Amino acid sequence: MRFIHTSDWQVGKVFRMFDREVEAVLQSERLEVIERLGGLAQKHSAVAILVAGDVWDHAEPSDRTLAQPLERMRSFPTVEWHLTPGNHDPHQPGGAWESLQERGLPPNVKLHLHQEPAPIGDGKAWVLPAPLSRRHTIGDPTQPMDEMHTPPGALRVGLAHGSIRDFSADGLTTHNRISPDRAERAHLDYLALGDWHTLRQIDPKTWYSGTPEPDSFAEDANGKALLVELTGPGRPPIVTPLDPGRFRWVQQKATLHDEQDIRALADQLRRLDSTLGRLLVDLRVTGTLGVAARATFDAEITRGVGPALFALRLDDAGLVLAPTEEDLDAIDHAGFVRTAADRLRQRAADQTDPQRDAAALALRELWTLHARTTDA
Amino acid sequence: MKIRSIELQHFRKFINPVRIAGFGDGINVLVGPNEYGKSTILAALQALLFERYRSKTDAIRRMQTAGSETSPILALDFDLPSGHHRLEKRFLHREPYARLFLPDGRQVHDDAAEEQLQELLGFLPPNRQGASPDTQGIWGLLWVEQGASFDKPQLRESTRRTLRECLDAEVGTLAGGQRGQRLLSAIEKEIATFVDGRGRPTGTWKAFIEETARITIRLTETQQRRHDLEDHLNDLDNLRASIEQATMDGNDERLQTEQRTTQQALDTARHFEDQLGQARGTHEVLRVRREAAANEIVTREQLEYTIRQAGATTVTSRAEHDAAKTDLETRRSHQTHLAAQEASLYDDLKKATVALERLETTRQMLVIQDSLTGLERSLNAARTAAERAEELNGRATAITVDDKTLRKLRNTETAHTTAQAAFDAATTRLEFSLKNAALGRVSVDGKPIKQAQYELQVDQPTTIGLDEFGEIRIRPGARDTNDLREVLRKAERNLQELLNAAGAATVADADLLSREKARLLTEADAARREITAHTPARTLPNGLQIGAGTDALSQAVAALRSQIATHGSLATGDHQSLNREITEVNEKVKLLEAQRDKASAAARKADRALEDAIHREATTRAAVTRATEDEETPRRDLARRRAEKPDDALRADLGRLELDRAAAEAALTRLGEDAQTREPLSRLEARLQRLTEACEERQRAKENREGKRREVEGAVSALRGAGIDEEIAGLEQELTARKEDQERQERRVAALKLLSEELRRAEREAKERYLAPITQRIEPYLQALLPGARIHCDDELALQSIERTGVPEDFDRLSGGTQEQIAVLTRLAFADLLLDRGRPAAIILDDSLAFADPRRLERMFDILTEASRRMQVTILSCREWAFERLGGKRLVLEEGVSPTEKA
Repeated sequence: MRFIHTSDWQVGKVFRMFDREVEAVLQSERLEVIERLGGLAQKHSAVAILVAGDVWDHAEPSDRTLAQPLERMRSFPTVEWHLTPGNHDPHQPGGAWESLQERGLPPNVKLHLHQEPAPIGDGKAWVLPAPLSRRHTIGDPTQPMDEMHTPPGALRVGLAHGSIRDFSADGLTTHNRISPDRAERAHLDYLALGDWHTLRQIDPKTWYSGTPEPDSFAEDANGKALLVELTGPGRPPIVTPLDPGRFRWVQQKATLHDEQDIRALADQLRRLDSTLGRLLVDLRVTGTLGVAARATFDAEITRGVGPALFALRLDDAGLVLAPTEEDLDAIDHAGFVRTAADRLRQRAADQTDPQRDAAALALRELWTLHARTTDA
Repeated sequence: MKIRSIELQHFRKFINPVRIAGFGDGINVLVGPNEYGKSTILAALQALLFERYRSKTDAIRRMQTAGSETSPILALDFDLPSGHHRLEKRFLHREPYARLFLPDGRQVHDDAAEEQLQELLGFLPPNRQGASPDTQGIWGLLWVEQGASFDKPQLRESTRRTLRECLDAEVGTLAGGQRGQRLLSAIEKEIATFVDGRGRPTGTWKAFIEETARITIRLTETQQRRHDLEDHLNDLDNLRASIEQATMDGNDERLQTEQRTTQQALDTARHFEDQLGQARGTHEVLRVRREAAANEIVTREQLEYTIRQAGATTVTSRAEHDAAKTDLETRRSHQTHLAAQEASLYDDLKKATVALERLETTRQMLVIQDSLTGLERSLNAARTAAERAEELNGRATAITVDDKTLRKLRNTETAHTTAQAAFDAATTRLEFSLKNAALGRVSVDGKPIKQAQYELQVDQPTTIGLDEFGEIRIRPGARDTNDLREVLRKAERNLQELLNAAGAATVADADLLSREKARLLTEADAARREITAHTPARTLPNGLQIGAGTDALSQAVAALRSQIATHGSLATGDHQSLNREITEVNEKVKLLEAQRDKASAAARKADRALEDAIHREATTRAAVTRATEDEETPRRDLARRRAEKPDDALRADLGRLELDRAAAEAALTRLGEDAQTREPLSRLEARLQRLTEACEERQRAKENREGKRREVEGAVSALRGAGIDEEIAGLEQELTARKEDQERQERRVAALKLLSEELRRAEREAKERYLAPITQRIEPYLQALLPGARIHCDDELALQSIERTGVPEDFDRLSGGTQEQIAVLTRLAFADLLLDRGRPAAIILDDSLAFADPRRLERMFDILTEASRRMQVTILSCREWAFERLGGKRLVLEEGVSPTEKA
C-alpha cells in the first residue's frame, strides 16, 4: 500500500518583501505544486496523499484561497487526499474548515477535523488524525492515538502536526509537542508529521516530509515530499523522498574589498544552481569598496548576475564606500569640496565618530551627486 | 600715488585759474566754507584722470562754468613709485588735448597719454555716458565724495577684480567655488525632496510616510477585525457547547413530566376541595334553619309573657290617672280664688302709688320754681354787665390812638418843629395885614391874597402885586433853601398823615383821645368781672349741676323752664302741707304692699300645686296609653306569627331539621378527616407555577442561545472569507518593508545633511582663509577704533558684520557714525592691500567723519595719521574747528596761476 506524505503547503502565503510580480509567481507556485504532487501519486501508484497540516497559511484565508487547492485535488480523482488542520490553519468551530464542509468537498477529499480514525481507500490502512484546533495546543496532540481503535489487521497511519519534543531549537517550546516515541506507543505503522519545513526522519516510522515548495530563506533546501510504502502491520515502511518543488531560497554572504572579491562572488552565485531562474537569493555584502570597485559591483552583481536570478534581495548596508585618493582627485584636487570630502573620509574611518556611518553614506552621496552635476 | 598739486581753469565755478599745491606725503587738509569749491576740486581730479579729453558727454559739459561755453583746462602733478608725473587736459575745445609728462622726461599725448594713464593707475576707459564708479576701478572706492562716506564701500566688479588679484597674489585662489555651489544646491534639492526647512516631511516622501501611517491604521483595524472574528468563533464554540449541553441533559423531559404529574394532582385536589365546600354549605344551611326554628319558639314564649305583664300595668295606670284628674280639679279652683285676691290688692296699691307720685312731682316743681327765680336774676344781671362791657369795649376800640401812636406823633411833631425852625431861619417872613379894600387887590406872584392876615415865607424871588400901585419884588439872600423846604414839606406831610390816622386835629387832641381809651378799657374790665360774679358754678337743691359762665347758666335756665313747661302748670301750695300729705299716702302704700306680698305668696304656692297636678295628670295619662300599646303590639305580632305557622307545625319542623343537620355534620367530619391526608392545594399550585416557569425559562434560554448562535454565525460569516489573515500578513510585511525603506531614506537624509554641513564648513573656512589679508589689515584699525571688535566680509569682499561681544551685528544696523567710521577704515585697509601689492593708492575723503563724537574723531585722527605713514590721505572739510587737531599739511587754494603756464 502506497501513499504520499506531504505537509506545510501554506497556500495563500504572502511574500510582500518582493515586488508584486514575484509575489504572484511564488503564490501561484504553491498551488502548482499540488498538481505536481498529484502527478507524482499517479506516477508511483500511490492511493492517497496525506497532508500533515498547514494546508493553508492562515486560519481564515479568503474564500478564493480556500477554494483554489480543492479544485486541483478534484482533478486527480483516483487519488484520495487526506487533509488535517495544522497550527497555521487550526480547525475552529464555525471556521474555514467547517465552511469547506458546508459548501461541499470533492468526493476524493477527506477532512480529519476530529480525533477519530478513518479508513484510507478500501480500509486496509486507517488514518489516526491529531487535528489542531488552536494555533498552540498545550500538550501532545498525538496522545489520543494510543487509545484509538482500528479494525484488526488494518495498518495504522498517524497524521499530525507539531514539534517532536526537545526537537525545537530552544528545547523550551511547550505547545504542539509530540512525543518522539508516539509511533511505538500507539502501534503506528507510520507517523506522518508536518510543521518542519525541511525533510527530516525521526525514526524509521516517524518522518517530517517538509514543505513541497520552500517559502523562506531560513531553510536552504529543495521542496520535498515522501513516497511511503507499507508492506504490512508492524513492518518498517519504505520511505522515498520526492522532489516536487520548483524554487530554491538561498542565503549568501560575502565580504568584498576589491574587484577580485566581486568577481568571485559573481561566480559563486552562478554556481548555485544550473537554473538560476529558480533561485531566490538573499545576498548580504559587507566590506569596503572604492568608487570604481563599487561601480564594478553594480555592473557584475546588481546588473549582472542579479537579473538572472528569480529574485535577489540585496543588503549592502554593510558595504562601505571608501573612496581612494584617485576617487577624491576625480572630484577635485583642491578647494573646499575636496576639503569636505577628505574630512568625511576621515570621519568614516574613525571608529569613535558617532556619525561614522552617516559620513560613509555622505561620501557615497557626494560621489553620486558629483557624477550627476558633472554630467549635467 | 601721491598728489602734489592740481590746477584748474574754466572749471565750473572757477573761471579764473586756481591751484592747490604743496600736497604732503601724509595727511593733507583743505578746509573751507561751503561753496568754497572743495567738492569741485575732487570732481576736477576725477574728470582729469578718468574722462577722455575728447569726450563731449553731458558729464563733461557740466564741467563748464555755468552759462558759458568755456573749455575747462585741468592739470595734475603726482608721484608714483616710478617718479614724478604731470597730466594736463583741455576739454570741449576746438583743439582738446591730453598730455602726460613721464619721470624720464618723455611726453605722451592725447590717446596715448590716456592709455598710459589707464595703465599706470589701473582703471577702465569711460563708457558712452562718461566715467563712472564702474570704470574708475579702485579710485572709485578710495576717493569718497561728499555724502557717500556713510555707505559701506560699494565694490564694483573692476574694483573687486583688482582686490582679488591682490588677494590671489597673497593667498592663492579661492578654488572649488562654483562646483561646490552646484553640489550644495544639488544636495539642498535632494534634501528638499524629503523634508522642508524645518525638517518636516514633504512631497512624495510625506505621501510615503502618510501612506505608511494609513497602512498601519489599516493593519490595526484588520487585526481588530481578526480579534473580533476570533472572539466570535470562541463565542460560537461556547454557544454550541451550551446548546448541546442543554439538549443532552434531559432536564426538559424531566421538567415536563413533573409538570404534568403536578397538574393532575392539582385537578384531583381541586375536585375534592369542591366536595368539601359543598358539604360545608349543606351543613351550614341546615344548622341555620334549625336554629331559626328554635329561635322562633323562644320568641313566641317571650311574646306571651310580655302580653301578660303589659295587661297588669295597664290596670294600675288607669287607676293612677283617675286620682290625678280629681286632684287637678280641686287645685285649679283654689288657685283661681287666690289669684283674684292678689289682683284686687294690686289695683289698690297702684292707685296709692299714683297719688304719691303726683304729690312728689308737685314738691319737685316747687323746688325748681324757687331755683329758677334766683337763676334768672343772676342771668339778667350778668347779661346787663356783658352789654355794658361790650359797649365800653366798642368805644375804646373806636379810638385808634394808643401809646405807640402817640409816641410816634410826638416824635414827628418834634421833627416838624425842627424843620420849620430851620426853614424859618433860612427864609424871609412876610406878614401881610391887609385892609378889606386891599383884599383881592394885593397878590403874591399873581395870586391875589383874600384874607386880611397872611403870612408868607419867602425863599424865592417873589413879586408882590399892589394893583395899580405897582409891585414889590423881593429877592431873598442867595442861600438855597430848596432842601430845607423839602424837609419841611416831608415833616408836614408825615405829621398830617399821622394825625389823620389818629382822627385828631392836633397832637394835644390825640393825647386826650389816648387817655379816654384807657378809661373805657378799665371800665369794660370791671363789667366783665361783674359777669363772673353773677355766674359761678353751683348745685341746685334738686341736685342739678350748673357750670360757671353765662352760657351754662343760660342753658340751665332754659332746661328748668322746659321742665316746668312739660309739667304743664305751675305748682301751688306750700311745702309743709304737701310734705304731710306725702307722708300719709306713703304709710298707706306700705300697708298695701305688705298685704299684696302675702296674697302673692299664697297665689304662687297655689300656682305650683296646680302645675304639679297638671303634670301628674298628663304623666298618668301617657302611662295608660303606653301600657295599652305594650300589650297590644306583642299581641298582634304573636297573632301574625301563629297565622303564618301554627305552634305545632313549628315544633315538628324543628325536630326534622335537627335530624338532617346531624347527618350533614357527620358527612363533613368524614371529609375533613380525608383532607388531612391530602397535599394542600396551595402547595400544588406553587409547585406547578414553579415548574411552568422553569420550563418557560429553559425555553427562553434555549431561544436566546439559538438567537445568539445565529447572530454570531452571521457575524462570523460577515468577517470570514475576505482573507483577513492574508491581509494582515500582507500589511505586516509591507509595513516591515516600508520601515526599512524609511530608515534607509532617513539615513540618506542624515548623510545628505552631514554632507551639506561639511561642505559649508569647508567653504566657510576657505573663505575665511581667503579674506584673511583684508580682515588682517582692517583689524589694527578696528582695534584702535572699537577695541575687541572683529569684522566679517563676505566672499564678495563686502562688509557684512562686526562682532563686538561675540555676537555678529549686521553692518546696516550699526549707528550712522560707526558705519561711516568703519567704512573709512575699510578703505584704508584696501589701500594698504593695494600698496602692499605695489599698486597705486591714495585716500581722499570729502566731508567725511561728520558724525563722529569728539572721542571717536580723536581716535580716527590717530588712525588716519598712522595710515598716512604709508599712504597719502587728503581731507576736504568745511569744519575747520573739527579738524584743527588732525595736524597734517594745510592746503590753500591759490588764484591766478594758469594750468597751462607751466606747459
